[in-house]
Amino acid sequence: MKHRTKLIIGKKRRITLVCFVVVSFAMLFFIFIIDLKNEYYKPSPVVEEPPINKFEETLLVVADEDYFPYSFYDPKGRLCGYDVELITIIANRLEMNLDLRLLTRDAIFKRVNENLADVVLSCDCKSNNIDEINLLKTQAVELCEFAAFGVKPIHSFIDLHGKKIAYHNEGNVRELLGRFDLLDDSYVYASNQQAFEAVKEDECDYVVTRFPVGSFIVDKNSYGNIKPYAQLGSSDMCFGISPQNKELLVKINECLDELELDGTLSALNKKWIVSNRYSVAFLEFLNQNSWISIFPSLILIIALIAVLLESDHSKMYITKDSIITQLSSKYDAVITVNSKTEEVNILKENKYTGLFAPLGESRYSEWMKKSIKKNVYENDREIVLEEFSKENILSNLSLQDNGYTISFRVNNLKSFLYYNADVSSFIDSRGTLQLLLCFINKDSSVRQSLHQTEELEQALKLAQSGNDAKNRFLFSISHDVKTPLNILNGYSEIIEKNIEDKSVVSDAITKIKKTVDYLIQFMKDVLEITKIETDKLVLNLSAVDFVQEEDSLCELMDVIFKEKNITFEKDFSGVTDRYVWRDSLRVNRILSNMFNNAIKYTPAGGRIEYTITQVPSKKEGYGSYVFMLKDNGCGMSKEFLSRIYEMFECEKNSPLSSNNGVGLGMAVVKRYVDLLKGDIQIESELNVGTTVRIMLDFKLSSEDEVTEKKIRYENAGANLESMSILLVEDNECNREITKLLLEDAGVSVEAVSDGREAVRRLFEADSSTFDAVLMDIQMPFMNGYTATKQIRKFENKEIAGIPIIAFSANAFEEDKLKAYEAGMDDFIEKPLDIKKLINVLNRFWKSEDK
Amino acid sequence: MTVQECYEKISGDFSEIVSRLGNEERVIRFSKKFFDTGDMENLEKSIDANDGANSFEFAHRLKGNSLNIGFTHFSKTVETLVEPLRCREIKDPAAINVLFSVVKEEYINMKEVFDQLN
Repeated sequence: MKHRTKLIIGKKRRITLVCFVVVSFAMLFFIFIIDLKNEYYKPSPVVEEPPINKFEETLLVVADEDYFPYSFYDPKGRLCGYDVELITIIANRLEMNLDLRLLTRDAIFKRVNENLADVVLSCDCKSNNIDEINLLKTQAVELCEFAAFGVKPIHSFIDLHGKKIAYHNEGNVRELLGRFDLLDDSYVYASNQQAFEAVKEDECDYVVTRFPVGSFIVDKNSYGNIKPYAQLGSSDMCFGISPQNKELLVKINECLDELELDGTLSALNKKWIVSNRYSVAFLEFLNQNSWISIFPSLILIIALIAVLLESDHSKMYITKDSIITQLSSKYDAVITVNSKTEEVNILKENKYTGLFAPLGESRYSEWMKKSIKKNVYENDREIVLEEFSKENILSNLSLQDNGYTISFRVNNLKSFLYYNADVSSFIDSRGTLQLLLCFINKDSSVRQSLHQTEELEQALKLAQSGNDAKNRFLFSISHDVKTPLNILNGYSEIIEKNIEDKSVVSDAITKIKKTVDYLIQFMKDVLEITKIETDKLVLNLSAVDFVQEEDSLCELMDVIFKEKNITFEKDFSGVTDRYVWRDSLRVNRILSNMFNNAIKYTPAGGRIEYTITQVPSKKEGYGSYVFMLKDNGCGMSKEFLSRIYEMFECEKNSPLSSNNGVGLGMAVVKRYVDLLKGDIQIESELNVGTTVRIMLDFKLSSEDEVTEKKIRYENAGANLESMSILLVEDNECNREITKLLLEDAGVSVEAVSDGREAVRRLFEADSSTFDAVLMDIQMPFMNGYTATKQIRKFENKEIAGIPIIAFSANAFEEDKLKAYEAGMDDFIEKPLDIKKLINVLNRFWKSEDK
Repeated sequence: MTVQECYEKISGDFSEIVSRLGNEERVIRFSKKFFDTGDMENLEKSIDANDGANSFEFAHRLKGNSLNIGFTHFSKTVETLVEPLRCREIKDPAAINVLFSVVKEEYINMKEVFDQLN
């Protein structure tokens, strides 16, 4: 009645937390990607190798070590950056080696004056300093901004008022400070380096210089606490060319034009200047700022703790609205119960049945009692009341944190419906434990499950009954076999002890023979019935004059009637359609068994009547026939009649019970009647007699159809002289004996030794050569089945339709069926009984042709 | 020894075979012929060669012949050999050899009996 179930709210919270973690990581990743796109955290740029000792001429380049705005030292200590790469490209294009040196301002002046420098990097287009040494100016290569560097953040240059400002008098810095009215508190230093040292030593608060220049110095000196803040103004930067080298100025300007046109300047700008300062790889960045990695780690740890706490914390804070929203769609009725006050709060009612509706009670125990009395199926009320008691629910919830399920039945108009209640708990916003009961109709699924269980039980019962039947079958067989085996053993001992007494031995042998015959018949019946029950037998229909067949059967029986002094009468006058399609083998098997029983249980001087009448069939083109066999024998008890078709059942009350069979004959009859879709009725009374009626439907045929098959029926005992038979037998001894016996009966015999020869002989023969074939089954080269199939395919239809009689020592039903399936017309057993053979041959004897 | 005595000696069904063949003369003729077919010798060779197919053919033929000539006891003995050979394989040579030795012994005994036929 209880099942563990998970609280839906807990699941949702867990999913939320997982989503939070995923989103956090996604954001970090997103930021990383965006920054890569903005080239903020781009890898260290690859610098074109400067031409050294590559060309004949050398471009002598100098730069102010204090004022080198667009280049810096990379982590490996190499000088790189916008200016360096630009002058490297230019030198390559001018096919000149590059000699770049960072020098002091004085050293630069000296070199230029001595004509030892061709180019000065990072000159301000408007700088007076450059004018001092009369440097030629190239066109502008880059716009360069000014910034204020300091320890404390400021938002704009206005914030610099009242602050001490250090600057190096280069470019337009002084002009700039004047424009913002900052010159009063500004101090000039000999170099930018010195200005930064002044800030570092707290002599000044900020340094104003070009942004890249300041960044270069901060980087170079690791002034980590000094940062660039407010930016203002800008001016163009250019290269300064030695005044004696105007030709070089022209070439560099041309080169700069080309570089601008082909986009190289723009590319260099994007490559080097966007960050101005932090053009370092992300990993390098992290390496330098390892504290940043603390954030994702913290997020991970917090998320992990939250998940762990949540998974161990089943009672969650949720609101009434969230409960309704979450559960209303799934459940038919939802209630909460305050665990302290027992106050019931119905969040959703079952609007169709009124189940768990307010009943004027607010206390849970009273409300539940009323609700159960009103709604719950009477047989379940007592146990359901206990299950829903607050104490019981709290006790179960303490054992099953995720809740559990109570199943019960509720009344409806006709009978009852199956319901489930999912029970769980939560802590509300006031910290009170609330019980949560969610009711849901499970009628269809439970009934389906019950139906499946019922079906399984029925299948199990069926299997068990099948197993019981098999056990009974084996028990009966072992019993029926054990008895004759004991008899055989007993007579064997009698023979051993009386081996010299010929009369005793002879008597014992006779009884042994009868017992063996019984056993053989028993095994045949068992195998036959097993075959019927395990295989899907196919009817083997042929067009016959069935009245003729019944006459033949009666002729066979007539010998026995005379031996037993039984009066036999037959009447087939009620048959109007004698030509039908029927499975003669199986019909004759049914009738033979019925005759055998009638003969067995009718004493000498008794009487047996056999009549066949035709009644209208419900099916068009069919005839219904009633085969009635009536005797005045010992009859059967009603008790036995009720189980007459069961296997191994024999009438124990019969005065002839010692002569009973194995109890399979009627079982075989019933199964064959069923196979033929017929019916059987038996009336019997002890010491009065028995009447058996078998009703079978046969499809109507015509005389022409029967004649086409060349099967004609003659009265038994007809003269076989001048009949011609092809004997097919590989065994010389058997062949000779059979031939001899047939010839004794007046039959003309031609013998061949295997199926292949038989096919050849018939192929060569004309239609009047042979009247029938007597065919062995087991032969070398080609067996009887194959030979028959080939003969049936002959184009000469008269020969193809010749009667073929199987002749075999394998006389089980299976062998007979196989023979019929191959196209054989009849079957006789070895060793050859000439009387039986003559009877069979008589059926196929074409008297008119002879 | 008369033919009837021979049949009794080998547990054959003399009355049945006389009834079926019609007279004693035919019984004598075919009983002698039974031992001239060479089936027993061929059966022995096949079993020695582990040839299941031929072993079955010859055992089956011996059974049919003995049944046809009224050697009922012998036919049942041979049947014990025919059935395990019906699959045309000698799956258990040791068992087949034992069964064959029983068949052969009875065959030799029968032959000795019929050798004494007048």
